[in-house]
Amino acid sequence: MLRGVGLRKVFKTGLFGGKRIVAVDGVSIEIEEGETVALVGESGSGKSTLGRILLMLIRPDEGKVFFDGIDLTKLRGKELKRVRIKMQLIPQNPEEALDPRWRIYDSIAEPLRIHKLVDKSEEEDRILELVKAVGLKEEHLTRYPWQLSGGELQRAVIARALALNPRFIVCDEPTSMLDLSTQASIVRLLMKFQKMFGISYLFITHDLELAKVVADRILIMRSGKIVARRVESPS
Amino acid sequence: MLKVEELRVHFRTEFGVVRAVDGVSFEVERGEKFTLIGESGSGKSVLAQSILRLLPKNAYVSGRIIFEGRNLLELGEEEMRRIRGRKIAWIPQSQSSLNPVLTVGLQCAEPVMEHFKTDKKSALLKVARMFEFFGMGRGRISDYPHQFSGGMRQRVLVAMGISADPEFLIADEPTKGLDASKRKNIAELFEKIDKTMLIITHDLEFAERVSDRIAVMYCGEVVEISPAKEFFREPLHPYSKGLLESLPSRGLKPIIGFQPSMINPPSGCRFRERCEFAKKICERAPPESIVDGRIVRCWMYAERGWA
Repeated sequence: MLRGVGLRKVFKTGLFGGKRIVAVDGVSIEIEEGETVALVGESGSGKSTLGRILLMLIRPDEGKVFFDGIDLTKLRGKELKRVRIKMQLIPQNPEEALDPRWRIYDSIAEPLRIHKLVDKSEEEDRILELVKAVGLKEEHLTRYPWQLSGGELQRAVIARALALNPRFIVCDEPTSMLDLSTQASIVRLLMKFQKMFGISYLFITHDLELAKVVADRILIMRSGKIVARRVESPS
Repeated sequence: MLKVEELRVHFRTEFGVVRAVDGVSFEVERGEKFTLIGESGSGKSVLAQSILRLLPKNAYVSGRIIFEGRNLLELGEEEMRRIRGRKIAWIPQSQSSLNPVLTVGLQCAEPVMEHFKTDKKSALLKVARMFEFFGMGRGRISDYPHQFSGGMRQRVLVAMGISADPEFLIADEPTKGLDASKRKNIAELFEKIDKTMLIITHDLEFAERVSDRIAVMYCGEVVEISPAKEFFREPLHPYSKGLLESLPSRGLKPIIGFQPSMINPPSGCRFRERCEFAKKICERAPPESIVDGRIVRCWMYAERGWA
C-alpha cells in the first residue's frame, strides 16, 4: 500500500549551510494494508524524518514515495492534498499538537473543515462519534488544551487523526510523554482502531519492548539507515 | 538517615485545596537508594521538593522531616541554605535546568565555591576530575549547555549535584525524555555513585535496576514500601500490580478508569474505584499492614475486615 524507495534527505545547517546532516540515507520501506511496522531507533537516528517523508511533510532529496501505486513526490498542491486525506500523523507531544487558543472541538473538526467533507450538522455528529470512540466525554469538547491531562490530550489528537477515516497513520512516539498506565490504554486504543478499520501504522518508538507488542514487523534505524529488520510472531 | 513522618502538603488554589501529599511516612536508611515511583500528579515531586523546602508560598506543609536529628521544617532559611547542596543535594530534571550562558564547569563548581569557600581554579579542577569519572572528558568543562546532548546534560546535572560531596541526594526523574540506551547510561552512572539517594521516577526499568527499596505513591499517599527485588517479583498492592502489568514486557494492560481529583479524593481507599478487588470495606481508609517486612496499605492484607 505504501512504499518508499531509495529515500535520502540531507539537512544543511550552520553558516551558509556549510554543515550537512544526512538524516535519512538511502532507505527503502514497505507497509502493507492493515499492517503495523515499528521503526525503532535512538533519538537522532532519523526515524521521525523518515516518517514525515512518507507523509510528504518533508520532501526527500532522492527517492520516491508510492501510495497505492501513485508517486507522491510528483504531486503538488491540490493533488497532494487529495491523497493526504488518507494519511495522518499522531505526533509525540500532545501538548504541542493542539492549538492552545482553540477548543478541543475545533481542533478535531479542523481536518473535516479543510477538506469540506461534511456540513455543519454532520460535523457535530461525526465529532461526537469520534470523541466517544477514543474514550473522551462530550464535556471535554468545550475545553482548551491546558485543561486536559496528557492522556486526554492524546485521545483528542487520535480523534482528530481518525476524523477523515485515514488508511495510513504515522504514530511518532505517541506515548513517550505519557505515564505508564496511560501508555497502555493509548496503545490498546490504537490497536483497537487498527482491527476495526484496517489502518496501516508506522509506529515510531525507541522502546523495543513496546515495538514487540504492537508491531507485525520491526525495523531498526541507526544514523539514517535501516540496519536490521525482523518479523514479530503475533502475540 | 532521613525520616519523614505524617507529611502533608496542601496547596490552596482557586478551585479548592489540592492535597498533593496526604499523610506520608517513610525512612531512608544510610547508604540505600530509595525510589519513589508513581504517575504524574501522584505527589512524588512535591514530596521531594518539600524536603529541601523549595515549595511556593501557597503550600501548607505539616508533619516532620527529620534529618540528622533535626526537623527540617522548623529550620530557618539561613540554616536551610547551609544544608541545600552541601548536605542534601537536588538533581533536577534535565530540561532547562542549566544556565545557557555559563559554562557547565562553572555551574558545577558553584556549589563547591559556595560551601567550601575555595577559589574558582581549584573548584574547576575538582569538577574536571569528576567529569572524567563520569566519562565526559575534562575538556568539556568549558563547554556550554547547548553543546551537550540530553543524556550528557543529565550527567552534568548529576555532577553538579554531587560536586559539594553531599551526604544525601534527591534525583527528580533523572531519565525523563531520554531514549533507552541513554537511560541505561544514567543507570550505570547511578550504580557508580555510592551515596544515600532518594530517587523519583516513573521509569520502572530504571527503578528496578538502581533501587534498594521502592515506595509506590498514588494520589498523595504511599500505598506500598517493599525491597526492590521482591517488589518486581511480586507487588502487593493492587495499584502496584496494575502499574507493573501496564509495562509492555508484562502485558501492556491498562488500569481501568482515571486518576481521581486531588481536590476531592475518594473516601477510604483512593484506588478503590479502579480496583478489581474492591469491596464494601474499602470505603473505609485501609490500615497499614506489614507483610514479611513490607509495608502495604490495603484491606486485603489487613488482619481483620477482609474475609
